[in-house]
Amino acid sequence: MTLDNGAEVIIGFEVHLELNTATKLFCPCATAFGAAPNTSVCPVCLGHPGVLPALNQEAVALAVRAAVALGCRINLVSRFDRKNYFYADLPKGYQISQFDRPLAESGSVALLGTDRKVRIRRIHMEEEAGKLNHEGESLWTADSSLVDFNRAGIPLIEIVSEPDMRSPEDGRLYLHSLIRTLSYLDVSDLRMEEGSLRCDANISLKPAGYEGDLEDLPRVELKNVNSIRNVVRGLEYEIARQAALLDVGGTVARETRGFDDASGTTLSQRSKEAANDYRYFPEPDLLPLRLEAAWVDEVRQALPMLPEAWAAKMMGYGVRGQDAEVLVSDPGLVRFAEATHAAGAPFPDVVSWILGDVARLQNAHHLPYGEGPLCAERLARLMALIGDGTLSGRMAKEVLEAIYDDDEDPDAIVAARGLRQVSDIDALTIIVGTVIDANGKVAEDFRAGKDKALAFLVGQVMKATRGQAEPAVVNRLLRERLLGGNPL
Amino acid sequence: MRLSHQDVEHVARLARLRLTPQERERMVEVLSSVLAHMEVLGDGVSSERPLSTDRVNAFSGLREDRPSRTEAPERLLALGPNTRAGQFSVPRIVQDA
Repeated sequence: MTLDNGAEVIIGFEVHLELNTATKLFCPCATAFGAAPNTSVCPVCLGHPGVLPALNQEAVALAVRAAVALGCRINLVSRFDRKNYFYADLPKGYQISQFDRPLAESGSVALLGTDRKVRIRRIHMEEEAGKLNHEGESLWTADSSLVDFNRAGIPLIEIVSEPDMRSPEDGRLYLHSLIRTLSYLDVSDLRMEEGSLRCDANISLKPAGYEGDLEDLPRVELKNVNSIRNVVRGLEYEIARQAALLDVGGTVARETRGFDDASGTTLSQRSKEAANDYRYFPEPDLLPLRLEAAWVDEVRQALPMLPEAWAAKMMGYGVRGQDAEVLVSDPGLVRFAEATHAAGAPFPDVVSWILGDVARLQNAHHLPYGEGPLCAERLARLMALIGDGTLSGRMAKEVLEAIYDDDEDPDAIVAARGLRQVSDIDALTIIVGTVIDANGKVAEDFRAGKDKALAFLVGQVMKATRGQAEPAVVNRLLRERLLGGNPL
Repeated sequence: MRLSHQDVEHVARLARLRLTPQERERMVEVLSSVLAHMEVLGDGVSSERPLSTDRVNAFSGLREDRPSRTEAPERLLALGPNTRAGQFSVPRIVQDA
């Protein structure tokens, strides 16, 4: 994205992800969300003197899993460092993070719907801070704050991208693409609204003709925006604000700004401290983290199939590209489609049912795919009943609704409701004759060229058969009888 | 490495410490000698232990992800200087400009 004044937009992201562990990164306190304040704390996560951190192995496993899925190189030796700063949510006065020896480096994320990639610079592990509850209308007017340390010490990974994005739309695509891949890994809840995924966007404007290092441009960090939509809004506002400053010969300050949802603007929070102001130094209480190459390979081999591979597989079965993309946006959908296919249903039909009526009904009942009355086996059986001609499409929809209402197998519903498509030609021929005799005027209209008259007659036959006639057969029989084709 | 007065002032500001001129002078000397000693130590230490293969599994030495409680939370909360509604109470975060 190039602005009117020739400046180019430069965007990079730092995404923080809370890992799905049972305990915190350095102590055995539970990580449950929503517990009463300060009930999941201990001397380690409260930063009492003399305590020692003990690294959680599951956090390492999940972090490595995410990193290999994003194509990163895993550093077999990485190190924890102390990042020193003062804030009331940080009881030790420092955060245990990783500085110059991160867990992983040099990955990438393919941008959805494009042939471009955003490079991942690094992924490192660190601990969460506590949560501040400001007493007052806002942070700026509060007299005091209350601190809940339940969150302090929960394991995080920080995914740092290169500044490869050139527009807010690129940023949106990046976050969607990243979250889509991560959603297949079961490493995090990925809930932005609950804070288990948070993103900070770095944004600069590169003046036309600038040849220097992008890192040297004045950069604004947009902090902790709680939805992808607001990230886009914040970026759009920042681009306009910075461009206006540059247009009048001003300079953009290097600072951290927060996004204000109500006004759609960004507000200065603090001037951005340079990295050396954090006075990083190696954490003396933890050994360097040493991983074995063979174990990292095992993690890589054990990765689940990722969305790009799923989409390719679906298309190989004849699913339309657009449908495949919709399907793989949710790993729950993909697993349900795969299970239905494994239960004997052909893929393109599975996808068309799942993206259509099944999606509607699952959403209406607020159910994740595969949970509730409709299991993969029932859907596969329903589709088999269509395939062998027992049910028409309309009947199948009725049976599908009944599965949700009655929690019964399709065969039981078909039997209980007498739903069986009538395709017996002799029986239908008699009914067709009766309907034509009873509707002589309409039959004449059709013979005179009014095609719409046929629909009425088809409707009458369907009514006479309580909807169980096969419409295509009825149509054919009516035409033959009325237009004098093959004598019946 | 010898620290300047500005270095000491900078570190003191980050650590939220206010130094008298005498203290600042003393800290220049003390911190410079600490750093000089670090350099001596650094000369004698090899940079990295080579990656060994003596490990029985990938996670030896790491903690299992099993929750446990070491101390009653009420006792820990009671250690705070000010508490309210089960939380630690701290002065307002944002300083006046």
